[in-house]
Amino acid sequence: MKKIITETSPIIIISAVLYTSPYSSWLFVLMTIYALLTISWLFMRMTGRISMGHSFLLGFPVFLASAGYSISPDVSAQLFLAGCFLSFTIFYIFSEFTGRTAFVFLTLVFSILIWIVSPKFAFEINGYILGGEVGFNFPVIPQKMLHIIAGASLISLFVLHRVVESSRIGYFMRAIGDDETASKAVGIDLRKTKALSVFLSGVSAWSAGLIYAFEFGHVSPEIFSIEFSVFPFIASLLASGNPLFSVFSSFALVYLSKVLNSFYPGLMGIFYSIVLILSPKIGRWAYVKGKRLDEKIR
Amino acid sequence: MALNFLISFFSIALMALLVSVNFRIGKFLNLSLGGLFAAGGYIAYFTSNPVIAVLSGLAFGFLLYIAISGICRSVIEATVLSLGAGILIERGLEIVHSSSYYYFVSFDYTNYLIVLGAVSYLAVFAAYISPAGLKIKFIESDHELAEMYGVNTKGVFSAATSLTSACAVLAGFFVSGSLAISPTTGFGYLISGIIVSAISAQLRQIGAVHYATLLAVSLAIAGLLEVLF
Repeated sequence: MKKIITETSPIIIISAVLYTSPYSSWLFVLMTIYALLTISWLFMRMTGRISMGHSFLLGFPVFLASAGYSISPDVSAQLFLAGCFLSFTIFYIFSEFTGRTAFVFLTLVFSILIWIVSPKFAFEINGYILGGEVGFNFPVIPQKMLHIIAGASLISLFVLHRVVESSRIGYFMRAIGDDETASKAVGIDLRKTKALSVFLSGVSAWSAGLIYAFEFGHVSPEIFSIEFSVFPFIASLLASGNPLFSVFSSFALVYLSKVLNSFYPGLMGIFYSIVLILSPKIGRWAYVKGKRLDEKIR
Repeated sequence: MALNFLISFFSIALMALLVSVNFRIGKFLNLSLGGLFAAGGYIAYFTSNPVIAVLSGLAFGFLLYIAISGICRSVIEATVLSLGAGILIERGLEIVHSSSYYYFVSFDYTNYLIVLGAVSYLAVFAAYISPAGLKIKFIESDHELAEMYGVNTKGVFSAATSLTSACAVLAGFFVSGSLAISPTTGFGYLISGIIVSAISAQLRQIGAVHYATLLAVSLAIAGLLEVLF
């Protein structure tokens, strides 16, 4: 309990400090969206599944919801739930019927496929063509309220991650991540545990997607972009997989993207690509450093 | 009509071939091929010189080989590295691409894609029939064992990566005349290649038979697309 309070206090302090001005509040919400995406990714990684297509889990329900909002808010809510169910089912099928390596390929290829296909999705209402590359509108909510909702979501999902991680089910998840066959041999229910991992990951990603839509008031096919897919991998890599550091690295990456893109648009993409190219080296270095830091803390 | 069908068929078959060669010999999913394909379009727009396309593809492929063999220890690491390389090309092109939304080239060499596709497949079949074919099959089935038995795995890997990269850039160069060029142009072709390659891989064949399956699956998919659209 003490550990959780210690870990959540910096997030609360950052949230309070950034509450002061409209721009900093907007930036905090943006940081939170990415941090929630990273937490979502970490839930799935607990069972040894490295997703490179998390943009689908984040974007699909809210993309459908925004399309439905063009018809009515009720349709929007129903489509959001349908999107949550579908994205959960697809990721669960991927995690259940593929090995670790195939899961990486499948999620990545699937998210790129959705990214390519989604701009083709358009329909006509009252003589106006909606969708396509432009996307759909979504209602916005007042910035201060969104700030509080985003902060509360981040803290609660971070705490949930920490609780799950140190619980019995968390050990089961990590056991599956280490060795699936051995976990099955000792009686762990693989299907239920994997389903729970995907569901928890989904809850975090769906929250991030909703906050994204409320923040921008608009959802376009760019929500399925590769940047969204690779972001949690990069954030976690730079934080050596530690959940708290992953939240901070997500914050730092979002801030860095604002700084770099203000120098030259697209510069952050170059940064991401360099991190991906050097990821094997960075991953090993961060793993060793993380282990040492962990030992020091203990 | 028949020409369009052939172009559609070879664009799918060629990308599937490039993805398959990289996966079977290099043991990684080369996700930079999409970026290289788009880069071919930009080379067509800025220089109109196919030699530059081939040379830049060869150079990039060789650099990719050096990076992968130098720092990667697994399929996933190599795949993520190639994804990074693909994004690097795409972002680089985005910086180059500043004046309008899409670029258009004034010439149309799309028909040459048929020649490139046919030559690439013939070259692969010839490589498998030649005395070196057995060594390539050995690398395909067990990379480490082949290395232990003295097969020049590094040479084959570097040649495969370089030549497939050059092919991807050249394909993008040829197709550019019939496309609205943007940095993400290549992703659709890459995905279609991966899908065909994945379907064909289910038959678990080795050597030239696998590549013949690639042709058959590509033909089926191109036919299906022709009927549907």
